Formats: sequence, C-alpha cells, structure tokens
Amino acid sequence: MTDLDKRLRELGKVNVQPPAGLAEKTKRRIKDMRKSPRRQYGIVKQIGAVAAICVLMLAGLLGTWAGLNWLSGGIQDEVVLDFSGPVDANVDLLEHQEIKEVFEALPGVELLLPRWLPQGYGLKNVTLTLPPQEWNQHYTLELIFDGPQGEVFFAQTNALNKATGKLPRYLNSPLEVGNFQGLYGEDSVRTILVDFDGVYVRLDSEIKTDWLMTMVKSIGDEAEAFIYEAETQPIPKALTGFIQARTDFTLFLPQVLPADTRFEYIQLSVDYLERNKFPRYRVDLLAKGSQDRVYMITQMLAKPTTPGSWQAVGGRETGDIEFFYGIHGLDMLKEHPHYQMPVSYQQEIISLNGLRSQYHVTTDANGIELNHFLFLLESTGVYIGYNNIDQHDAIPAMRSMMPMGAVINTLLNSFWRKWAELTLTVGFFAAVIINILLAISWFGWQANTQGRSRFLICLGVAIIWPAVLIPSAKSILNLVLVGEPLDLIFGPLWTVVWLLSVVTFRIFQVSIYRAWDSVEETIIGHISPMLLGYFFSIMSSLMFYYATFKPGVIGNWLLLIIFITAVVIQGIAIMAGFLTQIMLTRFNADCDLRFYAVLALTMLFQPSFVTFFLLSFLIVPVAVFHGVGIYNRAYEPPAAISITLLVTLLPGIWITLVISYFISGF
Amino acid sequence: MDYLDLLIDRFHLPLYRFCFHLTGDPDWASELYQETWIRVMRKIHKCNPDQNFEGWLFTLTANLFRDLYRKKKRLMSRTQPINKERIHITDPGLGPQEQLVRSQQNQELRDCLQKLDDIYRIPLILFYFHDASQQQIAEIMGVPLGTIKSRLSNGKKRLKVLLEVAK
Repeated sequence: MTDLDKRLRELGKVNVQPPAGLAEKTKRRIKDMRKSPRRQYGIVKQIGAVAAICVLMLAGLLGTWAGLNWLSGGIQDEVVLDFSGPVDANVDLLEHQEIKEVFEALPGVELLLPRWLPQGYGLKNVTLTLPPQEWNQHYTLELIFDGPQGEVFFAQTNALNKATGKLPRYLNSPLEVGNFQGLYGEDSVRTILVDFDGVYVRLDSEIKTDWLMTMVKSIGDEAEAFIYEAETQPIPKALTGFIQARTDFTLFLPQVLPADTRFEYIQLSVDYLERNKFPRYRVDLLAKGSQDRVYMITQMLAKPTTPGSWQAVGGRETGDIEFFYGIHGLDMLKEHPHYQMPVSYQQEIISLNGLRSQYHVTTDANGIELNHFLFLLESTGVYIGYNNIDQHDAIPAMRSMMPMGAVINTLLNSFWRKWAELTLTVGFFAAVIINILLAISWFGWQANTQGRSRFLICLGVAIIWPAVLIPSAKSILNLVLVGEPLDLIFGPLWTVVWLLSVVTFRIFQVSIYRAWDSVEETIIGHISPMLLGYFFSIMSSLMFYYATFKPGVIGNWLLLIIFITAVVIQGIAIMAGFLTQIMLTRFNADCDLRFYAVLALTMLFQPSFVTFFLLSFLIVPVAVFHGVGIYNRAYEPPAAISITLLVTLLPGIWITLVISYFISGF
Repeated sequence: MDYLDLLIDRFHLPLYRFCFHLTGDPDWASELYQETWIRVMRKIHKCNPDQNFEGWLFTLTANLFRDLYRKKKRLMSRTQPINKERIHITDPGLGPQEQLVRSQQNQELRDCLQKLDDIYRIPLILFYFHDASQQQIAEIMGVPLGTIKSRLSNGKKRLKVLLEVAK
C-alpha cells in the first residue's frame, strides 16, 4: 500500500458527522411533498389547467382587442378627415379679404380654390406672385391652410397666352364672357400642387387650343358650362359606360366632340410590367373628323391586386365601337374595390393639327392616401371671378372613383397600420416582459417551484396569444369581407401553427416533467424559450419570405437563398448538437432511453438559436429592401404582420435566449 | 413507520458521508442528501429488489450531483467560497497538536481531491472512503470494470501530482 493509499484510507476514516436533525428534516420534507398535489397529474387537474389557460388567453385577447380598438379609434379620429360638407365658416374663401384681393388683382381669372376643408381647418396665409409685366398671363397663388393635422399647402400656377383671338363662349353665364376675352387663348398651362403631411398631389393641365379646352373642361361634368361655338356632338353614353364598366375607374372622356368627328378606334389595355409595380391601365381613343384626327390617350396607374393573378391583357376593335370582353386583369380588379385608388392619372389629347391638351395627376408616394386625394378632389371647386359656379359639385365624376368600399378599406388599412405600429412599440416591451417572465419561470424550475413557474408560463402564453390570434382573426375577416386569397392560406396556417406550437410545448412540458427529473429543469428551461423562438423564427421568416417573394427580383432570390441556407444550417446544427450532447452525456449513468429521447428533443430545439441568430441577421438587410416598402403599403397585411412580428418579437426572444444561456451555463 | 423512514435511518450516515465527500461542503452535502431522498421517493419503484440498495442509492446520488450540483457549484463558486470553517471533523485518538497537523494534511488532501474530475474523484471516494469494491463502483458508475480500474489508477496519479504541486 502506498503512502497515498494510506492517507486516503485515513481520510476515509475521519468521522464526518451530519448536522443534527437532518434525517428528521428530510423525513418531514418528504411527507410534505407527498401531501402536496403539485406532483399529481390527474385528468381533472389537467383540464383545470387548460381551462385556466383558456380563460387567461380569452382575457388577454379581449383586453388587447379592446385596447387596440380604443387606441385605433383615437387614431382614426385624428387621421380621417371630415369631408361631410362646408361646415367651417372659413371655407368660404371668397369672403376672405386676401382672396378678394387676389381676385381684384386677377379680374376674371379662373381660380381653383378649395370649397370644402376638413373640420378645424382655416386659411392661414395667401401669397400671390405676379410677373410685373404679364400679370394677367402668369401667376402663382399659394394658399396655406392650418388645422389639427398640420398645414396644407395649396398652390396653383397658370400661364396664359393670348396669341390667338379665338375664344370660347360661356353661354350659361353671359356676365363672364367679357372676362374671358383677352385672357384665354391658344395656350394655357395650369399646375396645382397640394401638399398635405408630406404627401403631395400634383395636377398638371395644359391646354393648347380653345376647342380642346372645351374637351378638357368637359372633364368633371362641366361640359354644360363651355360649349364650343362650332357644332358639337355628344360622345355616346354607351362608350363611357362601356369603359367604366370594365375598369371601375372613371376614365375621363370628352363629353362633346366637334360635329364632324366620330370615333374610329378604341383600345383598353392593362400592362403589368413588374409585380412590385402598379399595373397601368390605358385607353387609346381615336376620333376622326373631316379636317382633323384627334387621339386621346388616358393612362392610369393603380395599385396591384393579388400577386400572381396578373397578365398583360388587351383588346382592340376598329370600326364600330365594340370591345373585347375577356379582360382577365380588369375583371380581377373589379373584385378588389380597395385597389382602385389611382397612383397617377394622365390624359393627353393630341390633334394632328398640333393642338394638345394634357391633364396629369401624380403623387409622390406609392399610392396616395385616400383622404389626401379626397381633400384635393372634393374640395377643389372652380371659382371664376367673384361669381363662383359652386352650384354643381366640384368634380363629381372623379368623386365616383371613390366608392364606399375604398373608404372602408382605407380605414381598415389605416387601422392595421396603426396596429402594426402599436405592436412595434407596445409589443416590443410586452415581448421583453413576457420573455423575462419565461426566464423567471426557468428560475422557478430551478428552485423546484413548479406551481409558480406554470402560472408564469400560462401568463406568458396568455399575453402572447392575442398577438397571434388578432392577425388570424383579421385574416379570416379579410377573407370574408374582401376575399383575399392570401389570407385563405395565412389565417388558418398561422392559427394552426400556433396551436400546434403551444400544444406541443404543453405536451413536452408535462411529458418531460414526468419522464426524468434530473434533466427536466434543464430541458424545460431550454425548451420554454427555444420552442417559442423556434416557431417564431421559422414562421416569421417563412411568412416574410412568402409574402415578399416575387419571382424575377434579385432581392427575392437572395431571400430564398438565405431561407434555404438557414434551414440547411439548422439541420446540420440539429445533428451536430444531438451528437455532441450524446457524446457529452454518455458518461451519465442514468442510461435510460427516455433520457436520450428527451435529450434529442432538447437538441432539436437548441440549434434554433443558431438559425434564429442567422435568420435575424441576414433577413434584416433584405427587410430593408423589401419590407419597408411593404410595411408602408399597409394594404398587404400578411407582409406587414410578419415583419411586425419579426421586428417586435426578435429582441425579446433574443434577450430570453441570452439570459437562459448565461444562467444555465449550458 | 414508513418504509422510506426506515431506509433513511438505515443509510443516513453513509449517504451523508458520500454527499459530504462529493460536495466538500456541509451545507451542500445536506442539500444533496435531502434531494437524493426525494429522488428515492420518486424512483423507488425502479429499484430492483435483487440489486444492492446502497449501490443504487449512490448511483442516484452521483447522478444527481452531476446533473444538478455541478452547475450550481459553478455558479456559486463565483460568488462565495466553500465554507471550510464549518467542517466538523474529529479524531479522538490524537492529541491537540497532532490533530491540528493531521487536520491540515487532511484538508490539503481533500482540496486536491476536490480538484479532480468527477470520473476520477467518485471512484476514489467510493473505493477509499466507503470501502466499495471495484465491481461495485463499476455498477454504480455504470461503466465497465476495466474502466474503473483505469480511473482509480489514473486518479491516484493525478492526485499525487496535485499534492506535489500543493507542497
């Protein structure tokens, strides 16, 4: 026996006395635990636990829903402007002293001034700029309106050329005839600019002949006011009705033409160049007279409908005015009324004799806000001199472009955008808190306080679930109300996935708990955040990918590659993690099959950290390219929601993972 | 009296000694001791009647120690040192001076033993402190007999090196 053997033997013989009462204390503790119901998993208790979760979920859902309604209601009150009529005294701009001075400076000049203003708005400032020598030919009038939503900038410029003496006659209001003399001639260029909250609407109108002016003035049902002194004929109602029926847009057609002119040709077509862009609707119209030929080209860009359903279409018929009916894209458009807002509207009338008229409405955004557009269209009436002709609606034809469905959908979109913004702010902190709770629950398991942990888990689920169910409910509603095919997929999918994830989580929680005590705390401690993180990451990225993927765009292929790479890496990580863990734990004596099974399942979710990390970092740049635009266009809810979830829940899950890893020292 | 109470009374001292040697700290030893009995309560149905209960008990203890207390020890070691002052060890056969020297030597040996990896330390503890045979140790550890022989041999070599370094 060596010296070390001897020393070890002697050390083993050293009397080690346990603390007094340790055995009794242990016996008491065991008896207490046997009495405790925490370890029992009776069916009644399971049902009770599930019921408690359901109640919590319901409470959270209703609470969140009520909160969102309350908040969105407040927001909508601010955002949606009241166009119910000229309720504000300040709207009667003709009574405004500065406006009177403008008319005095421009006697007989036709001004376009707002007739209606949103509630609470009033004229703040008027600036008229006149060139010293040509005061009656070229002017710039700038109006600034101030109200609850900030300032609205309204400007118009007008350039006149009185080179020719051929003047239109204003039959209905003889008093005005004289005022036109010397003011209207061959050329007239007008630009109206409305800047509202950073979104501007530009309305360009260029008229090069007096009779074409007649055509242009017919836009907006003002044809009765101007009749060209030559013989005219009305444009067949069948034609205007025909086009409108196929586009659901009001394409502004001349309502009168010179008497000897007749339509020869009309083509209605849709070009859809890229799925990210707006389809372009175009009407080509040719009228032929004895002395002239007149082309009219009307183009309009509108928001896209459901991706994947577009194709270039067109129809052409010469001779008699008939039209090809099988226009797939237009039929699709008709079924989606909330996509009817034009991004730009352009009309050009060209005569072979060199006469030309342009009418152009553009915006600076990917689709103009409806209320901005309404503001312009509904409030811009035509004032001529001091005797305005406001007895008729300003531009009723254009107003018809805004069906009630569009208004409702705009409100819906506004609501969901606000919802997204809400979750970006409140949801971020909520997610952080939830995940901290989950981390605390992990502590709870460590401390063998399962009851509290379970409560915290339930609480966390109850808070998370509304954020999951609301998009699902919205998707279902959207499906019913609007018939969004995408939501047909996303709504149920989203719901089912989350049901599965939570149910799976619960099954794991219970089964693992009962399976092997020694690893339960580790496994549950890891699974609780990781299972959530796994589904959040995969589903968010999957939804994000699906919602943003557009064939033919490089960025989208990049996204696809990233997604596939992440999935492959995840697979490798799962295998590597599993093998590593098996290697690390092979010395454990508790060689129970369930131990390894549970371990394998743990590892299955553990690499999600790697994937999550990878996805999060790589997706962000792509999101910048694709997501921002989609997010701004709140009418694509799946993308907006997935991005919102991604952005909202990422930090919270990250924090949880980091906390878990640091604490567990895994 | 409950069967578990009988088992606790029967294996009270050997289990606590094992816990103490594993943890090196009386507080941790008490905690491990209690947790082990709680686990026994849950897993007693798995104990084979033909199997040596003490061996099964030590297996459970060693696993619990590895699974639970190793991580805890890692965390705790960053915040508080092992409370050596509270270790109550007495040897009535020695005088005060000899007892002091012996106590210092034992503490030195115990410190070095604590520095060993579990795969070496546990066999050494079982072999020298609990008089377990190599076959019993192999069953407790769940590894082949040859592995235990090797670990005992290598464990002593490593311990010797640690003791020399400590001097």
